[in-house]
Formats: sequence, C-alpha cells, structure tokens
Amino acid sequence: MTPKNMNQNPIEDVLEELHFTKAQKEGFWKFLNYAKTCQETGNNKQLKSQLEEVVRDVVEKE
Amino acid sequence: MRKNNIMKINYIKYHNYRCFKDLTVKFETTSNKNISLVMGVNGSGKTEMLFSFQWVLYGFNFKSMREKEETPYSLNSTLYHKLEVDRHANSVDCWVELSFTNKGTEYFMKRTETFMRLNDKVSSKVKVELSHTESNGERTIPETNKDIVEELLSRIIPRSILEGITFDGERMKKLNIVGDQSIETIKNVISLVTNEKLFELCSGEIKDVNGDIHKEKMRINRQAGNVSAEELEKEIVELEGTIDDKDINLHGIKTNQEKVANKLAEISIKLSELKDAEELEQKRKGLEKDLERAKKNFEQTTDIFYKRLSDGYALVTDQLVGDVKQSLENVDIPAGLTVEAVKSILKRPKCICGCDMNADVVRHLTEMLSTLPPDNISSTLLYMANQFEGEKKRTGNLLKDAYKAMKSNEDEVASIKAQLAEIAQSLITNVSETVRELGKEHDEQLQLKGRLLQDEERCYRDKDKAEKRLKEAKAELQAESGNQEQLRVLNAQQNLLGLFKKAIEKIGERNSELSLLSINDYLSKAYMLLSEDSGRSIYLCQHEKKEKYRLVTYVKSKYDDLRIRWTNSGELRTLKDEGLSESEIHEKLVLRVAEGKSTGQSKVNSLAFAKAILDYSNEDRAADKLNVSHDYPFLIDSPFTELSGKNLENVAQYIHTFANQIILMADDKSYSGVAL
Repeated sequence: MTPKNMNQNPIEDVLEELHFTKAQKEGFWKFLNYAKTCQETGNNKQLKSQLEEVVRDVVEKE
Repeated sequence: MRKNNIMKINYIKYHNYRCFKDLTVKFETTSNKNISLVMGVNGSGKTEMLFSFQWVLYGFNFKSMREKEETPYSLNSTLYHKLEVDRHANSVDCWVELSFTNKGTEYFMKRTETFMRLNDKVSSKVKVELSHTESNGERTIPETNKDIVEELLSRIIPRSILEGITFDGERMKKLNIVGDQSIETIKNVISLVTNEKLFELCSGEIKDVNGDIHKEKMRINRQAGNVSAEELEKEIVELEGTIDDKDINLHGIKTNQEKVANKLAEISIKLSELKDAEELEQKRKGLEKDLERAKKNFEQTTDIFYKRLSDGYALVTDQLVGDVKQSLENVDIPAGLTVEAVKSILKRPKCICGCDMNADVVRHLTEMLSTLPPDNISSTLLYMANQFEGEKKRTGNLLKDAYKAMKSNEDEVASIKAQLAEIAQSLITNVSETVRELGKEHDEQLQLKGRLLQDEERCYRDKDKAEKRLKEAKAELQAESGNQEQLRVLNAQQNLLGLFKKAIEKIGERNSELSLLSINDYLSKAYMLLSEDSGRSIYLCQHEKKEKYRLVTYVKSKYDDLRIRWTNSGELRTLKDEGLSESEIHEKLVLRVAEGKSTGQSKVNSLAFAKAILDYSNEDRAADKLNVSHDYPFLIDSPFTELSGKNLENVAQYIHTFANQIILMADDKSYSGVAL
C-alpha cells in the first residue's frame, strides 16, 4: 500500500464510517478549516464560538 | 507538486543585526538551479542568517541559541555594549528586511528593533512592516499592526511551518541522537507536518464546548427543580378547577348579596313606612290621654251642672220674683231703708242722694231712726227677691257654662274617639313589635351581608391566589417545556460534539498512522537516494502510539530473515491476531534488527528525515481538503558536515530535490568535499 493510496481522503473516509450526514459533514469541515486557520494564525480566540455556531447550525438543520 | 503554492525567498537585508552590520543577500534561483549556497567559515554567521529568517518574520528568542546566551538580542553586540556603557549614546536601530514571493505576489517584511538607554538600562521596542507589490508593480503602504501582520504572515508561512523547514545544525544533530531530545525533536517536526496540533486543538475546543453545554444543562436542571411537566400539568388542571369553583361560589355569593340587598331595601321601605305608623301610634297614645282628660272634664262639668240643678236655684221662676216685688210696692216703707242703713249713711260725709251731710240732714236722719221699725220685712223680702233673681241669673249662666263645657268636652271626646278610630284603622298590627321584628331581620340581613362579604373576599383571595399560582405554573410549564426543548437541543449538540470528537480522534489516529506510513515511505526513498549503503534501510519508529518517535536503521536482509522466521513460527499470525497493524508488526521487526549508527550515517539519516518531512509537507494532499500542502523553501545549515564518501556524494547530488528553493549554509571545508 503506497502512501498515495492511503491518503486518498482519510477524513472523508472517517466521516463516512461514522455515518455523518451532509449537514454534519459540512459543519465538521467548516470547524476543521477554521481550526486550521486559527492554528496558523495562532489566534484561537474565535475558535470556540465558531464551533458553537457550527454545532448550533448543524443541530438546527438536522 | 503544486506550482501555484510555491513560496520563494528573494533577498534578505540586514542593518546592525547581530553580526551583520549592513548586508543584502539575494537568493536568485531558477528551476534548474534551486540552491542558494551561503558559504563561510565557522562563526561567520551562517546559523545567524538561518535564525534571522525566523526573527524577521515572527521574532526569535536568542536565548534558545546554544552558546549564544551572552548576546540574547538582535542588535549588533558592539553597538549594544556601547549603548550599555555610554550614557549619552543615542538610540540605535537594527532591522532585517525579507523579500519573498508567494503565489506570484512579492512581499516585504521588515522588522526593526530600536534600542535605547533608559534609566541606565538598555531597552528596546519593535516595529514590524509588511507590504507587497500590487498588480501595477507599486508597493503598498506597509501594515504596521503587529497582530495584523502576524495574521497575514501566518496565511503565507505559519510559524510552525517556518520552524519545520529551518534545519540548523543543532536540530539535525538532535534528530539522530537516540534519547529524549531526538524523540522530542522528531515528535515536534512530525507533529507540525501531520496536523497533530490541529487535531489536539480541535479536541480541546470540542471538550471545552462540551463542558459548557454540560454546565448549561446542569443550570437548566437546577433551575427546573424537581417538578416535572406532568406534575405541573396536573397542578394546572387542579388550579383551573379551583378557579372555576371559586367563580361558581362567587356567583352564588353575588346572588345572595343581591337577595340580601333587596331584602334590606325591602326592610328599609317597611321601616320607613312603619315610622309613619309609629308616629300615629304616638299620636294615638296622646289622644287616648286627651280622651281620658276630656272624659274627666266632661264628668266634672256634668257634676257641676247637676249640682246647680240640685241646689234649686234653677227652680226660681221669674213669675215668683215679679209677684214678690209687686207685693212690696204696696208697703209704705221703702224697701231697703233700715236702721242700719241710716246709721251707715250718717257715718258718711255725703248722703246717698248726693247732698252734703249738714245738720238738717243729720237731724232728719236721726229722727228717722227713731221712727223706723226694728225689722223691715219688705226690705228683707226685696232683698231675698233680688237675691233670688241674681242667683237665678247666675245659676242660669253657670248651667249654661256647665252645659257648654259639658257639651264641649263631649264634643272633644267624640272628636278624639273619631281620631282614635281612624288611627286604629291605620294601625291594624302592633307597630313596635313589627318594627322590632323588622329591625331584627334587618340586623340578621346585615350580618348575612357581612358574612357574604367575608365569603366573597375569601373567595376572591383564594381565586387570586389560584390564578397567580396558575400563571406561575403555566410559566413554569412553559419554561419547563422551553427547558426540555433547550435540553433536547443541548443533548443533540452534545451528541454532535461526541461525533465530532470521535471523528477527530479517528482522523487523528488514522492521520498519524497514514502520515507515519507516508513519511516512512518518503524516508525510505530519501535514504535510498542519499545513503551509500543500499543494503540498509531506515524506519521512523513510533513507540506507544504518537508519543515517542525514533529513527532506526537496519540491514534489510536481517529484517527479511526475521520476518521469515516469525512467519514460520506463527508469531506474525499471533501478532495479527492480537490486533496489531502491519505497521506495528513492521516496527517490531525493525526494532529487533536495529543497529547503531556512525556519525556520517547519522547525518544521512537526518538529511533523509528532513527530505521526507519536506516531501511529505509538499505533498499534494488536496483530497483531505485541509490544504496543508505547500511548497516551502528549505533552509539548512551545514548539511555536508560529517559526511564522506558515497554519502557525501549522494547528498550533494540530490539535495536539490529537497525543495523548490534551498538555502544552504556550508563551511569551506565541508563544501570543498562536495566541490570535488
């Protein structure tokens, strides 16, 4: 198994395995990407509120 | 590699920065020639230059530099010491400007630190400026807000990545020294390129938010108390029933109050009427007394009348009196002339005829005395006749009066009797008794009214209380419903967070495993490229999952032999049955055949690891959507030191494959080997 094959889309695979709905997937990606921006900027102040917003939105949609 | 994400360093300028007074170093690279070589003897400032990249972008803690603790500041040490000793020294600026191109845009990052003497101590302040060229080629006005600059920079080259692509000699050494330092160094590097920190960050936030939700749920539960919605609903039904009952009671009370009011009004009217009757009664009593008096008067006057009659004076007739007087006219002595009368006249100064009592008159009268009889019958009779006549008149008058009085009293009695008969007609019943009865009834009605009022007040009070509680209960029920809804939402949020947590853990775990496999694959390839010994291989071992890393080299034939033995003995099967993954089994085998390293070999290992890390971080992993992949330049200090032979040759030959831009620091000696 080559690394390329293994890295096809590990995150999506996991989300599929855990039976994420479309809204949950969108929310998860939104949070993850925001977390990445926060990590890069070193500014995590808004991450918590962003996660709260994501969770609220997803639950509202579901 | 994705060409659109290439980052390239153009130049770096120094002014009074550490060992560089005024210097500009340009890094001109092409696709064919991507290495910029910075050569210099030991202590000439190669490592300083490496760290200056970090300083200009994010600042740098000079105290962390080995054996550099004596000059932990950016300013040139000579200038710094001068500032320390010279009281009149002016402030001194030191700055570094870095030009780099990212995605086609040229950026200019300048960090200036101004040193000054303040209260006999040297202090400094830092200023940052970030600008870029616009499409028309003009440079923008620099952004100087430190936070904004850092944010902008982090979008281009995050601090973590910068540390991951800057390999100084110390870090290279650390990679290969088996011990806590190497483990920590590798762990940090791996952590940087495999997004471990990102997943840790995500997990932390998920835990944090989950904790907040848990607290909120606790708060709601505390607020709700122990009363359930069912109990509240039951209470509301009961309260509504109570209010209805109270309304019925109040209606009854009001009806009774109306009745009482009517009754009282009725009694009042009756009493009012009876008041007139009472007055009549009083009048009747007065009349009765008057009647008594009138009767008495009538009886008295009647008695007087009859007494007059019985005295006989009323029987003297006028004929009798006339006859007596006629008889007396025939007598010669005037009636009434008596001795006593003459004597009486003689005592007077004048005669009864009006003449003066002279001597003649006196003599005449005296003579008369002697001629008069001792008793004058005529006079007596006349006197008696006159007396009778007078008495008759008086008696007649008395009888008239008596009759009149008797008649008047009789009339009065008759009148009073008539009035009494009239009053008696009006007062059929006993007025006082009725009034008393009515008064009693009035009092009873008033008492009843009072009781009804109390009942009404109590009813209203109970109703108000029930209504108030009903309102509260409804609000509580609503709040309870709201709470239930809130709790439902919070539970859903917690479930989602749980799912996110699970995903993060799994992704992190898988990412780590995949990253490790991927890095190991790149490591193996890099090692094959750089190492002189093709019979050996390298493996980045991970003990206790994600906690410890170690670079291990091994002889491939020994590994193969052991694997065959384990296969034959069934040990491999056992390990698989125990749930170990292929990479874990591989790691176990590698560790069994691991061998020590020579210094030169260690350097190759470090370089292979650096290349693997760069290859991995530059790998196109767009599929994971995190877009962490980026082609960064590679900055390395002394890569050829301690290398020789084929190893040196390989590193020299393939180092250009490490990244699209390589800034390489080397000393004369090590590079001379490469040049050869």
